[in-house]
Amino acid sequence: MFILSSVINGSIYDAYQYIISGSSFSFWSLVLLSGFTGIGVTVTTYLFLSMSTPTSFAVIGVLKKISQTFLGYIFWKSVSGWQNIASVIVGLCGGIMYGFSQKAKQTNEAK
Amino acid sequence: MDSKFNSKAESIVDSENRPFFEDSKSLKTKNSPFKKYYSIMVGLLYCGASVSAVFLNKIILSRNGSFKDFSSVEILMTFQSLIAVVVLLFFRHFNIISFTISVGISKIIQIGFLSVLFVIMTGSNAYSVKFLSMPMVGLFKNSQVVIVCILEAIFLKNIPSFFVVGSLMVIVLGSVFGSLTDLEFDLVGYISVAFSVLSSAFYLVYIKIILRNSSISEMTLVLFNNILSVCFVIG
Repeated sequence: MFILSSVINGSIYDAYQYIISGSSFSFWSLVLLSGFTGIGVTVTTYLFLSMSTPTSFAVIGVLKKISQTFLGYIFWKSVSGWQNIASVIVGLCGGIMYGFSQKAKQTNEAK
Repeated sequence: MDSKFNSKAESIVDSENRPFFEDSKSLKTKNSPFKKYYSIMVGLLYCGASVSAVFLNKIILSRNGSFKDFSSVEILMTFQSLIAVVVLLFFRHFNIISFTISVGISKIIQIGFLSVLFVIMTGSNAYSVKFLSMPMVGLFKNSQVVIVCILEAIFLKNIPSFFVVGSLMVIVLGSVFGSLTDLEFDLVGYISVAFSVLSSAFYLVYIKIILRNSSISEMTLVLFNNILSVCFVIG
């Protein structure tokens, strides 16, 4: 289905043309690196889920996005306005609260 | 004395032949002072890998970058899955990681459902980004924590505490702040993002169900999920 839609809009033909004629060493290095990071993402996802709960993983996903926004602010000054800063701070507080709730749960289970 | 010596020698040989990684249970049973921090370490590794993957994919698929003629998400996804399969089989061959590759048809069907969810998640995510602005997509994706929590309560019987529900509400409130200036309505975008949120929530809960109820190891799941994802993307 996805391949069919890419055939119709021509992106797959362009990509094929690029691969057989214009692709460079740096392109293939990046594809390889992206493949390695892809394995890293799936393996760590499955490992984390086997050790913890899906909700904790979803919270980690939100905290990852917050750190991504924060890094964007530091490196590219991409965040502007009080809403974005409030969003990062409130989101981070929510993540910390969730962490404490899990800690409290573990302590109760240990008792 | 001899038998004691032999058993000690066997355990040394056994530990030398043992792969570096078998599954999460082998990690938990390893005698290490950092044992209780494994899930935090894995979570941090996930963040690092995921952020790197996002930036690398952006560089490769950017329409203004060095590789602007290559803009096929499907081909990149296929390459990534193929690389994952080759690397996992390579590590397995050299006994760096150990996992079984012979699984029954019922387990293949279970993993197949997981791959369908994975492909729907990736595809609908691409469509939602196309029709809605990034802050709006971010708002809905962050609200996913609530959906995951509800599904976890229904399917895994993990009833959340009041404090957990409160913290999830604070997280959602945080993402509402970030999207206040970008509110918009697009029916196709909303349908895509609903598919994306629901499929990824089901994906996470379903992985947990498989890992909890069947004897499939994480690495076997990763391998077959990648193989079947390639089949579903092409199909």
